[in-house]
Amino acid sequence: MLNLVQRPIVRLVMVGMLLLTLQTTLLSDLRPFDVITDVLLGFSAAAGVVGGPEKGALVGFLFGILFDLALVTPFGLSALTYGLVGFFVGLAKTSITVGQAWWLTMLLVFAGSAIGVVLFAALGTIVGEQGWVDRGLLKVALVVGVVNGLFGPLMLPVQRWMLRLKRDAA
Amino acid sequence: MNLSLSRRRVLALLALTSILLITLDLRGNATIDAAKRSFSTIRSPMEDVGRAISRPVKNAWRGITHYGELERENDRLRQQIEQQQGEAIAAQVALRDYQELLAANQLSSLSQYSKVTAQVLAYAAQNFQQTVEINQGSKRGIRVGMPVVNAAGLVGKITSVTPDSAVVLLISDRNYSVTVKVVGDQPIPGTTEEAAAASSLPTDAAAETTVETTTTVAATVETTTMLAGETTVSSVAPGESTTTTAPATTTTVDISNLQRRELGGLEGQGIDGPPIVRFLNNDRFTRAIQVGDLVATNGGTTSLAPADLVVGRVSRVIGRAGAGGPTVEVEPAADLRQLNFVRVVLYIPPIEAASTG
Repeated sequence: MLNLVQRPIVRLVMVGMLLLTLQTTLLSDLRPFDVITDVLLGFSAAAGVVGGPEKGALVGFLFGILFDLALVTPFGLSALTYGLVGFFVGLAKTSITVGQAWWLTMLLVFAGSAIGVVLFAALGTIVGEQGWVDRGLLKVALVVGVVNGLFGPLMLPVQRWMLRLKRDAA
Repeated sequence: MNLSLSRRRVLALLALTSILLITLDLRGNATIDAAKRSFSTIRSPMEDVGRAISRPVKNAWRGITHYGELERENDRLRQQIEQQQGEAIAAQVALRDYQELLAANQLSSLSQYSKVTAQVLAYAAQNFQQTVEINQGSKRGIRVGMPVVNAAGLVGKITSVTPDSAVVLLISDRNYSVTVKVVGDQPIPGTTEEAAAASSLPTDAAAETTVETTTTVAATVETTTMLAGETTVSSVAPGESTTTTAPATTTTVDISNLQRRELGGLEGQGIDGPPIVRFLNNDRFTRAIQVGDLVATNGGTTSLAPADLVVGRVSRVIGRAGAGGPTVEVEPAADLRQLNFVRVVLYIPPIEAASTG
């Protein structure tokens, strides 16, 4: 049993399920500025910061699949969006040589989350969902980005435990 | 920021897998639907625990962020309840007459459909869908497409069902649509009905009687009554009886002055805007639609909702040039942001019922 929990994929699913429960119970009701924050998107971006593009893409994809299973939006849309966010945030992090500064984590998670929201709406529109890109989208992106950005540094230790990474592994 | 071969592969794999899943889902895939249902069953106990743990946090958050608003709403609701006590009694009398009339004329009414009461478990976990999850499912006879109402009016329709839960697509969601009728009691400008209405004598139309209700109270009750600017405060001690008197109005209906109605399609506009009605008909009656007119479902053999479910009232009429007719914004009767208990109307469209049975 203990060996099973040592595997990153098992940890990934465990953390994903916990975050999904948090998202569907608590965060769907706490709506700062009438916006539902997106903790799974924030963790996908944080995975890119900690683990680089490949691990960021993997975590984002799996978290997205879990979220898609709970939503009525097209299946795979969150997986694609979160995967791309994890990948490109990881890519951005590897190209910046500042190191693991807390403000950089906040900035990357903020940008990744905000862009992720816009990307999700844009991809949704491409696959036929109507009205996702409207005047309220920027507010949603901004609020989700700010909230995730503020909690970004707190997400890193969880990501390191989940992906079995040491502090300077990225 | 250069992409190595392995990174390009990861990116391509991610994109292709996701696009494949999206395509399969959009074309309708039984495996994905089954996976979603199974996943819902698996996470159901986790969500129950999550809700129990998060409830104090939610309450604290609401207390902090909505304290003033809740206090004002509480005062407003108390006033409304007092005003509506008398009206409710009169309405019950009218409702009984209405149902007797329907029965006498062998017409269908909403009371003939069974309903399942359910509690709202959670709102949508995401900004791009307007849904709620309820705690009753296919075990209680709920099926996809059935209309969902609360005490105020139409709430939405069922979009997915598991044995013990279901997802309700709210009328504010952009994917929601239903055929509705707009019923107004205003005469049409420039018509003979307008002239007839202007010359009618409303005082002759109604004869007023009263209905009395006696209630014994368990605790001291203080009632504030406001009628035509006059405020009366009365107090009732425990064990005493209180009598409420309300007017019951008998109205003589003039057939030529019956309410005008217009058919259209109601569509949700997302969280930022009220649902709108686009009109299918564009005839002379559309000019009569006014703010405050009642919007209710129209029913029909193919409609997913039976006739006469209250949707709300017209809050704005937007005139448009061309043959499309005006667009009407509707303020839903049900408060979609604060749903607690809802009822699923176990209604199957007549055309579907005929084909299955």
